[in-house]
Amino acid sequence: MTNSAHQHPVQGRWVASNPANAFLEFGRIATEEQGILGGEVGEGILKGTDGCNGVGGWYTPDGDTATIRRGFSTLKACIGVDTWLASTSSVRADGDVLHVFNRAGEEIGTLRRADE
Amino acid sequence: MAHPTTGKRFVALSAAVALGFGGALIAGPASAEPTTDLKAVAAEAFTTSDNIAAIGHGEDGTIVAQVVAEEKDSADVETALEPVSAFAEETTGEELVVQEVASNYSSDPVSAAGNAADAEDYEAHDDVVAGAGYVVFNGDQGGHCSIGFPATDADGNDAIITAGHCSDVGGEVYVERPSTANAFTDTYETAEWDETRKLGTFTHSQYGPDVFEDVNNESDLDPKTMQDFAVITVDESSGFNLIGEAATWSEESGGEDNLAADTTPITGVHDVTTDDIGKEVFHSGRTTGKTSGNIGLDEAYSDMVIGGIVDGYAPVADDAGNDYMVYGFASETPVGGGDSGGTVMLGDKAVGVVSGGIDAEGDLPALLWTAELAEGLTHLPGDYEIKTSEGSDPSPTATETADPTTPAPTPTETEDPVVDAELAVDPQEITAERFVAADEEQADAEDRGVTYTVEGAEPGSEVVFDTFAAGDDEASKSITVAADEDGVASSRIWGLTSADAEAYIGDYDVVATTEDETLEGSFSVVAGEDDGGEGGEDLPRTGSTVGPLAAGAAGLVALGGALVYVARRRQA
Repeated sequence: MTNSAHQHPVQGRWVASNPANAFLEFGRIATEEQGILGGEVGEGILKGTDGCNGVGGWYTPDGDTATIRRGFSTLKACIGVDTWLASTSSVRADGDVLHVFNRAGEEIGTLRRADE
Repeated sequence: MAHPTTGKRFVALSAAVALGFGGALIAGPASAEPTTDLKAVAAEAFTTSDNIAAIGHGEDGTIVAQVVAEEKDSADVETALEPVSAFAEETTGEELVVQEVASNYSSDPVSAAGNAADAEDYEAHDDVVAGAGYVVFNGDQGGHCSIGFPATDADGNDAIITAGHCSDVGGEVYVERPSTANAFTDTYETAEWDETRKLGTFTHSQYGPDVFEDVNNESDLDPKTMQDFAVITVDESSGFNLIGEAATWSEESGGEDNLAADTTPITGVHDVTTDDIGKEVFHSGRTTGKTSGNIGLDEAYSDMVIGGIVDGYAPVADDAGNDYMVYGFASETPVGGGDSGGTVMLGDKAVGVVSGGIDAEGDLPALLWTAELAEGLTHLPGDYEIKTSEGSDPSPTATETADPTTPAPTPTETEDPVVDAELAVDPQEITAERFVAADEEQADAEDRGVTYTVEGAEPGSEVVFDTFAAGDDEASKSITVAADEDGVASSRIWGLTSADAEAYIGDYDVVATTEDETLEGSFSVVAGEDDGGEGGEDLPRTGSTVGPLAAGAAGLVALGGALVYVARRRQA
């Protein structure tokens, strides 16, 4: 219930092989007792980066999937960086692999669960 | 790898290969013939081995492959390099140059190296304006952002105001070639910049430092620790000429690689308040060019901003995944990666720099979070003054809401925002000789033609002036002018001397359309000699024009003439 075990399969930190600093981290979920700024009850906080700009916001878990509601992110351009994670819209956890989908529902890549 | 090496074109090792995008992404220039072939062998090499960091052109025309040191003798690297090696020998007569690197760019992906190779072909224009693109290198990191505002420090030295998240202190800045920016090419891969002449260096940079997690209630909100501003101190020896005008990113100015050729004026700084909600702002930057949207926020976004749509705070996530809090305001303005740091304007007033954005999604509009300039300037180390267009008041008091020296008999913004607009046509009767002018300069200098002035319009809003020759249903000329901070929009019309002055004799109707009303006026061009007469009340002239416009005056072409408009604004 607290911050030890994950309530949902997507929770935790997932990292990319390229760019190596790209990641998504699905955090705590807001409850009536303990809310999250900007998030509604049932939504979790999402942190992350595509290696050039942030990929943050809030997520709503549903079984082994989650849909993402994006917050503001910086708007740099980093030539030579493959910012595929920028178009993240939803994810599905499959063991230690997180499948990442864009708004059109197409799989754009995978992340692997970071050692915790 | 501290810096881009001229002559070297890196090819990014792309996750595309590993992720099955169906081909390697190659961040190479569009020019340079041999690259096309190199792309093919590079793609093959990347597909064969994960330990090739980059393949590109080296100095002296050699082909260079960067290989992860630990794996340089492995079989897959050897196999991967075979076609590259063959290509090098075939095309250059030289052996492939193999460089060892600590790791491939998948673990060090910030190589914005590459297209400065084309610097030899590109010399940046001396004139640098607000909204132009730049490349910044900081250690081994590099990226593109946009110029917010040309400025001067307390000693009169040139500086540039941009976003703090674009670089830490020490970042070295180069001017990007406008025609190669996304605004015109729609891709990042064409970007070129002038590496031969450094524009300047980041000497101050603030982003946050307070983060989202630190905020538990409104008492935690503090503009002082929630900024996204930086100062680039301009290299005085660089010879760049900083101009206080904002790029429109028109095709014409891009094609000339001279954004200063088409700009909109900057007349001062405006503090955005709740009175401005609903007004249109525009942004200028290297990725999306000039885009606009209204200050406000779709309801679905409302919980992303704390403390208000204007004078509010929003978390803006950066490349490390941190959500730094930034003081500013929201507008529904589309922006893209590379627009960071760019200009945000309300009419002709500077209001902020691009801090963060959200793409449009479904029914939800795109969103821009602007770091607010009026507040940001107060947190910079030293007194910085935004450069303004020629002829406007550059004094720092321009940041105040009203300029007491303005002679316009319009009310100040705070007094009574609901004022009926009025159209003045001056003079209402003019001799044909006084109506024509050879060009704008003569029209202005000798006060030729007729001026239209609307007072009481919404500051920053658009006013359309249509001129109809008597009896015509179609306007002979039409022009749109933005109202200044006092709600004044002004334009001059005259007849070209390509026709006989008598061709213009007749009656004209003038219709001025503001956001919420239509105003009518008229004037007559009459026969008679140049009497050198005065045009009544004399409005101060400035150099800001939007014309002359191309001919196309239907009603007047028939008469063999053409009308020319020039927008004017009151001097602040």
